[in-house]
Amino acid sequence: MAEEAIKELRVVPDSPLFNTDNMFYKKFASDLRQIRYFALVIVQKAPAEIQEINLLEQQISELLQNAVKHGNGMDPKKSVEVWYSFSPQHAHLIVQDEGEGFKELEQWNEFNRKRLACLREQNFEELANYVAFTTERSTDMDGGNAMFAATEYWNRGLVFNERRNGIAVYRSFQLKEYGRRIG
Amino acid sequence: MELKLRNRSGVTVVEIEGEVDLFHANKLKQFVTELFADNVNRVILDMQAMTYIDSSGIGALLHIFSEAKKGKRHIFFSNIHGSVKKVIELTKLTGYFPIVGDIEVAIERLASEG
Repeated sequence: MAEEAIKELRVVPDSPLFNTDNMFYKKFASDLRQIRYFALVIVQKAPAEIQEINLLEQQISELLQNAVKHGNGMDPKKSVEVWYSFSPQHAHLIVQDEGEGFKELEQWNEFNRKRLACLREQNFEELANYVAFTTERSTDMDGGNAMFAATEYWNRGLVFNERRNGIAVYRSFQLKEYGRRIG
Repeated sequence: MELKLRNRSGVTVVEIEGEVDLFHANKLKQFVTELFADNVNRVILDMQAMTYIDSSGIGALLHIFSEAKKGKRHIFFSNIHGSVKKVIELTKLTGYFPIVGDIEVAIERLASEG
């Protein structure tokens, strides 16, 4: 998947990224206090060779936060399901909540297009209006910028399912170079 | 997260230690907002000891920077590194935030801004 194609949020229910074969699986309660712990549980399966593992944990934590806060509305009776697989070359996750789905997806894309235009034009005055995407359900705890970073971080895919309550993401990593072959 | 207040050459430095996540972002926001309310107009947020930031933490920095601009206050963010730097880069806010290399540079810039 070309990197340019994933700078916006898309609904792609038949994406191969939703194939859960050979992936680990966990189901978590919608407990915001434990989000960081849940992210650590998942990232424990990632091999040490993965670069910037703290950043990976942070990005996973954001996906879980979105599912618990915006998806499940922090309803303790609702769960978040996570499928995940890692290798030194990749991180692949599917996060699904029991909510109504991300209804503002098109609105987010339009907002992001304006944000990126401000960045291209280095128009920081105007950019101030596009640094945080909020909805009427947003709270003080919401930074409104998690998905901006997500579209950059997950460099090989970020797609939603039909109901928009499930997101599949994929990042490929370059292997660390320990030396150069001679001859 | 711990916040330490220091005075360096007449400038207020807020040293942010630890993790600025969804549980701590509001504390940072309130702390600096109260400084502004006390007419502290030259502030450096030093992130040398900050180990983690998430979208709520970025939101807190955006709020602080916006409040500073509104009140025509002078603010710099210094010593950003590691995963904190990466998260700011991912959100493409590196050029938007008033980022400088270290506290000394921030103090020089504040002196020149008057």
